[in-house]
Parts: sequence; C-alpha cells; structure tokens
Amino acid sequence: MKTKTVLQIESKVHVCRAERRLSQQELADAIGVTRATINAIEGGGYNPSLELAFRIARHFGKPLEDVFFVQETPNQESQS
Amino acid sequence: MKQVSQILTKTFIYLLPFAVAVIFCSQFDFMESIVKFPNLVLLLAVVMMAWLVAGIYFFLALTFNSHYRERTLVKLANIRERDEREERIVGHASRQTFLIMLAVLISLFALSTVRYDFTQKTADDSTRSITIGHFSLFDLKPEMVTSNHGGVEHQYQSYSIPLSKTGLLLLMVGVQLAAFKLTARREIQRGEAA
Repeated sequence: MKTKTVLQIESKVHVCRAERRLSQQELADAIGVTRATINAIEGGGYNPSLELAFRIARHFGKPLEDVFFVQETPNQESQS
Repeated sequence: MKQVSQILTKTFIYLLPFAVAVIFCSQFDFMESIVKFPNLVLLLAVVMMAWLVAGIYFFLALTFNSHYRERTLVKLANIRERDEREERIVGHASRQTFLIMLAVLISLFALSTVRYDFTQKTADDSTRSITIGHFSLFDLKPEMVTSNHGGVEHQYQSYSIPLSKTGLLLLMVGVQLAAFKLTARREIQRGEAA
C-alpha cells in the first residue's frame, strides 16, 4: 500500500465576505465574475485560477494565504 | 456592412419558422386555393425570396467568415463564457461533445461499410451473406426526373454532393479531427507568444 497526500484547496471567501458584509453578487460584480462562480468557490466546487485568487485576496486587502489555504488529506491507494 | 449582415441574419432566423410552415402547408391541396388571392401569393413569394437570399448569405458567411460563425453560432448555441469558470465548463462540454460526435460518426461510418445480402434460393436451401468492405467513396450518379408535356419530353438532372454516405462520413471524421488538432495548435502558439 502506498500513501499519497491529496492537496485540497480550501477558501475563507465566505468569512471575508461576512466580515465586509458583502453579498455574493456584490463581490462578484467587484471582481468581474458571476455570482455562480463565487458560490462555487465558497462551496469548494471550483478552484479559482491564481489570477482570480489574487484578485479576490486583493479585494479583501489580505495576503493570498489568508483567503485560500491548502489542506493535506492522506489518501491510501494500492500500489500498482 | 455589419448592419446589413445583422439584418440578413435576423431575416433568415426570424423567417425560418414561417418558411418551414409554408413549405409544410404546400404539401397539402388546400394551398392551391390561395391562387385566388394574387396579392397573398405575391406577398408569400416576396417573403420566401427574401428568406432565400438571406439564407444564401447566412450559409456563405457561416462557411467563410470565422468572426461571423463565432458571433452567430455562439448566440444560437447559447454558449456563455462570462468568466473563467464558465470557460472551463464550456471547455469540458465541448470536449465531451467532440468525443460523442466522433464516436457517432465513426459508428455510422462503420455501419455504412457493411452490406447485408440475403438470398434465398429455395424454400429449404437458403444462402445468407454479410459483405464488409463493398463501399464507394464517391457517388457521381445524377438524380433524374423526366416529365412529358404535350409529347415533348423534359429531363431534369441534379447533382448533389459527389460523395457517397461512406465518403461523407469519412470526410466528417477527418474534418473533426483536423479542426481539433489545428485549434489546439493555434492555442498552444498563442500561449507561447504571450
């Protein structure tokens, strides 16, 4: 058995948004994406590109790693 | 020029249901009764002529003008690429559509090369055979209609696409693969140039 780690990108966009009391639509309009994209990023259904991630972080005035962080989860796979 | 293009495109698209309805109704006998109303016949003829002219422009522009094709078909297919997530969704959907269409074309091509011959010699002794590979890529036979008016015979010949079903399907498979390869290469070159 070989243990692999899976890197999962998590976001705190909803927390930052709540701090600023912004709606998803307001954030989406400010960044230039659709509301569905903000919803997908917050729900973990979509990992934004580096450019979009920086744009979101810059909008909140925070460094990138305060808005997005990586979570390592062990994933056991049988060795081939 | 752009306005003329828009008018012709809208003429073709908005008159399409009307043209289909007229063509459909012309199959029935009651359409012959409208001959009694010459103004209506004239109006129908003008509208159909406008649709036909717009249609010729539409097909030529779709074939030869890449900007027009992009603008018109994106709107017709309701493709939305407002941000990177939607671009990614369209990319995934296009990939799946491409693979499905390729699979369908290859299956149809394979089916078009198979010929099934059934010959029954007698009631007891029958011969059946499946022939594979007896196909032609070209079909150059014209379709011919003959009419006879007052003892004078008229022959009308029409040539459609000079490819057989098999040839056409093979062409479509080739076009699909080549278009994908060329588009991918263009994207790579664009990425390297940036």
